[in-house]
Amino acid sequence: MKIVELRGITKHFPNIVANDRINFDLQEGEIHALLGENGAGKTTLMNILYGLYQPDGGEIRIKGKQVFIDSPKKAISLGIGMVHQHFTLVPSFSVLENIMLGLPRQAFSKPSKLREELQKLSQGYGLRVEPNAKVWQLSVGEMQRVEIMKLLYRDVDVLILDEPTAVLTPQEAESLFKTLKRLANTGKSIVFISHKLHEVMEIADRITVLRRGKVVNTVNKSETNIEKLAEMMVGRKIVLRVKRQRRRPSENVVLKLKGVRCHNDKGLPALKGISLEVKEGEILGIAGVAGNGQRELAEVVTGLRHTEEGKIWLSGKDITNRGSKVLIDLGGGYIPADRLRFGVAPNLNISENLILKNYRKPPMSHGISLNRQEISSFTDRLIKEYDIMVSDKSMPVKLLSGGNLQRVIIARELQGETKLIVAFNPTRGLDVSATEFVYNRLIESAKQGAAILLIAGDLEEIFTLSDRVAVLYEGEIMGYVPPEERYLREIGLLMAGVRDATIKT
Amino acid sequence: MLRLKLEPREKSSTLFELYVIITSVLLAVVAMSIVLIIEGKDPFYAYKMMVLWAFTNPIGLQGTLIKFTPLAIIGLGLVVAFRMKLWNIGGEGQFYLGAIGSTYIALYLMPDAPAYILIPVAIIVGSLAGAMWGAIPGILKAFIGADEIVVTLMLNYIGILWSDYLVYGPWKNPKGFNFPMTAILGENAFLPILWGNVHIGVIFPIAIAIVLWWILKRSRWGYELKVIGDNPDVARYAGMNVKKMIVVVMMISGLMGGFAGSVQILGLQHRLQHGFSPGYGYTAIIVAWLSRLNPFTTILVAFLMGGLFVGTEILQILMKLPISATYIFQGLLFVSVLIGEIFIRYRIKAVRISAHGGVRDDRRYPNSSS
Amino acid sequence: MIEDILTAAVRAGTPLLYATIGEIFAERSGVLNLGLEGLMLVGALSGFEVANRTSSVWLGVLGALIVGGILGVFFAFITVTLRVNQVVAGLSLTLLGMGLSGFYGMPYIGKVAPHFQILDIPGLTNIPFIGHIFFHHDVLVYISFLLAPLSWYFIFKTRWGMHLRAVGESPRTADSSGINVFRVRYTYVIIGAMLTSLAGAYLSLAYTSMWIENMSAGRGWIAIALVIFSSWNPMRAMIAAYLFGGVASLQLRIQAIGTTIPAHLLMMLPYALTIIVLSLTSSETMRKKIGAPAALMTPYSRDERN
Repeated sequence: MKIVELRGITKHFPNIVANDRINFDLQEGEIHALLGENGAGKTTLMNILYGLYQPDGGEIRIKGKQVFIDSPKKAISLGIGMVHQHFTLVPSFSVLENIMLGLPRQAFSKPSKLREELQKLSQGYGLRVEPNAKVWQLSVGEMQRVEIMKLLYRDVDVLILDEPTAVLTPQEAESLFKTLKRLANTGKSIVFISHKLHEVMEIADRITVLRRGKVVNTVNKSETNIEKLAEMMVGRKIVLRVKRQRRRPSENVVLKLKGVRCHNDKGLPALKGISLEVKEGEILGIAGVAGNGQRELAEVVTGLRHTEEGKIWLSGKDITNRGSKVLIDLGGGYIPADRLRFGVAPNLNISENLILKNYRKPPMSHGISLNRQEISSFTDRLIKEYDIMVSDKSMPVKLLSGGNLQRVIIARELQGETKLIVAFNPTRGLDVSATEFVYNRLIESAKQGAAILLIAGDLEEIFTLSDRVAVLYEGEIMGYVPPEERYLREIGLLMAGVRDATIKT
Repeated sequence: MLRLKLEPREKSSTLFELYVIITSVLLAVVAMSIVLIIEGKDPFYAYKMMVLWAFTNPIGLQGTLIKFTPLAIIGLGLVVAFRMKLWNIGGEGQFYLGAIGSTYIALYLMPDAPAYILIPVAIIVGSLAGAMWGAIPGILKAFIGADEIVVTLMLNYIGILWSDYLVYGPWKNPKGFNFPMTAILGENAFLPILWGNVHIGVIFPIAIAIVLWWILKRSRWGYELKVIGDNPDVARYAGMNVKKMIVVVMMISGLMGGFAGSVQILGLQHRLQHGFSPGYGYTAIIVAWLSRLNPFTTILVAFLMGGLFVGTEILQILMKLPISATYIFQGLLFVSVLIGEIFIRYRIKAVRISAHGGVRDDRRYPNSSS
Repeated sequence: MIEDILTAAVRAGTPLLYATIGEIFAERSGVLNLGLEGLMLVGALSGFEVANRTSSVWLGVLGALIVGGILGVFFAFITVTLRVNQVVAGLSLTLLGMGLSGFYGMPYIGKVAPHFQILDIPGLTNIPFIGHIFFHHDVLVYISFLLAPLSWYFIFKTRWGMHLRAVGESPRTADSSGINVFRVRYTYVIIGAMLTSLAGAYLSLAYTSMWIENMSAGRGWIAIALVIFSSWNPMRAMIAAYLFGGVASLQLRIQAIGTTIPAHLLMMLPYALTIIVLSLTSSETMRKKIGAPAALMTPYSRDERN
């Protein structure tokens, strides 16, 4: 039976059509993957089903009846639940309280009964949760479990999961898949949003591919394979593997870390003695599941986080705890993962953002004033060189598309004499052509001698770009792996904390 | 079925913004007129008298300029702070501190100094006192993250109480019949007069506005202020010292308030007394906001606001219109401009929800949350 | 003597308590209302006016609540639905309140209205010392004694309180849980406005029995500080309110006695204390422990892609 049917769903945002007359259906007891690149419209479509957005056109049918879903509350009452990429939990509440949130009155009179029922559910589905723990203290995988429990407790028939494995180790992902299959067997229907082809082929019964807001096709798993899916997703054969000549990098060490320790925002140790080296012209990829110290590593190197112990050298100079200005002055650059938050001043225009690093010195300024002429020609030059599409130069940059915004950041960080680049998830949220642009620029910079520390969660990306790969797990380097596909299993194990002493370069 | 929703506008021309602001002001005027008419008063007569008195009558114009001065100076100081999203509600306290500082110099430290030494010193000390009053919330915000709204608010009270303590106590004029005020300052502490009782202080805001405009638009420091105000995280990455900037900006804002206080004492009041400020520090917030944080507009708005107060005074005599009417008008103006701002930032769209294929669906949406 | 001061402290602290609790509700839902001073004045006037015309204090209270509610709806509309800058909106509400109350209050200067009488509670009032301090007041004070613990219980121990806290801390989560963020914010902004208006009515119908222009004398601003002083906790708000009330009444008495400590300097104490408390509780960990509404002042919109 068709549990959910979406017909002709259309949704507009300023400047973009996120969903364009989409038809989608979900059968009872199936795991249906929604596949597409970043920005294809998958999350938007499901947000509509979950009542967070209202469609501009089209209709929704649940179990054959047409419905109007104007809020998540309505969606849940219709049996539809969604687990987002960014968790919706109240940090200061306990797990129990988070599950209780929004429940009807009866649940509140007997918290102990609630705890019991949670136990039963948890055992039934194999999801371990600790009811009294405060959410802000939990690990990411645990938080995800709480999210799923929340929905199961409310008796949903349909579970929508948005890129759930983005924050899990390969082993945790396996465990999640087992759980999902179990749920499907008991009659729950699951929508699994992803852009990862391997996963989708493993878990899904049917797959719907979206591209630029439109449905490309809906196929059964048995009728397709990874290459066909990839082609549907991008509309052409992927040549994502940009040609990278693995040359021998020079012997000059540009970036060196020794015994670096630091804490995360919660005061817990995040890096536990990191030592590494990146040579001139080399791209060192740091692989690992998000939450193992990647962010802290990027921040200590760029001087944005305090290093408790250990030292960091750039071109032989000690830059430990000397702040980001020193890094910038020595020719360092940072491409942050969270573009809008750490990469740009969103309401300022493109010029104002491009001069962020070099505004202090001539020719951008002389004395205490800014040289507007110079700044203007600088801006024009970079716009041309980096192919930034901007209709109005005085427009606030937050209105640029993700790809263009990243071009602005890359233009700013890569231009000039860059000795070191820290790239943290540089292609997050970008489409294929923007991603290729980023890859090409990074490779170009490496060719010209820059040392690049690439921290990314996407293994494909790491493999495509890196000369060497180190795996980060719980704040330590587990080991090094050559960036070749045959070492995929080793990497997975390293990422899950299993040290393999035999693989080291 | 039609639904209204707010959609962010990509950009708007300055002309459009001007149009919206003017419409907002007009709406406030209309609303005020209705209030007046209900009370049996003729709004057109009121407006005419106000404008004539405040801007064309010599005595009235003097009053306007006198009120303009502190409003403009404090307002400019607030513009700097607000641009960095530092909500300095403490203009009043900083104003009082400036007054205290200058009075101290003029009455106690060097009462016999010649004017060309006494006046600059008094102004500098007053300004520094105001700067100190701004530094406190600045430091607390920068290093502890304490909310500047509450701290500046508290410091207002402390500042005013301090002044009261002085004028009721140690600085009270023994020959003043027990009124809460100090003795009159010597003539060497009087700012030169330009016209009537308008002192040279009236020129200062204009000079400050020009300097401020240049700093904010063209200088490196102004650029840093802009970036930090927009995104302190990226500013930190770029090597900007955000903490230092917060303190400095608050100090500058306080300095202006103190400067305004000094000028008010030396130019107009010539003594420190209880309640000498009719809330200039608070009104300056309105001025800064209404002028949309632009230094030149601040001058204009401060001038008009001064005229508004003076005009109300004459209406009190002519029409028995109380000062509270001015507050109503200011409130209406404020709200009107606030709502107008929303129109600038967003577009209201009527969205029709219908099924694909043209079948109109008239089913009512249950109470939606936006 | 001390007994008198403490009794006066409770009396003087009561309007502060009402307003502070009201603002705690609003801020816990994520909305900062700086318009308390204006609301208090409007409440004082409407309460007085209705009581004067109907000769009933309770109708006066009702009038104040209604007017406060109307202004609350208006404020909620511009801050929650239109999402204007809350600081500026609050200031304009203050101005409007000051202006409207001053303007429409003129005919009532010097008039009389019925006022709340002091009510002794049999048994309790006779307790030595404490009886006089806490149980020798009017009904509105007694109601406030109940309001604080009930509010505390409501916020921390009930389901609606949980919804309130969730909206203030993480509106997106609350929305996804099916809680109507807008409705919650509207509700508590309105409740906050009504309580503040009631505080004003207390001033004109119980604390004194007259209407004077600007009779709130800054209490609205103090309440805003008290919210922080009490860490958004209604029980602590009681302590804070009586503390400030105490200092205010102390000042009057000291001027009468004529001690060596200048009254004005003494009055600075509560303000200075507030700054100190604020500084101590502003660190990130403290905020998490207290459960400070993390989303305070941030307007919420489902549609905007952040």
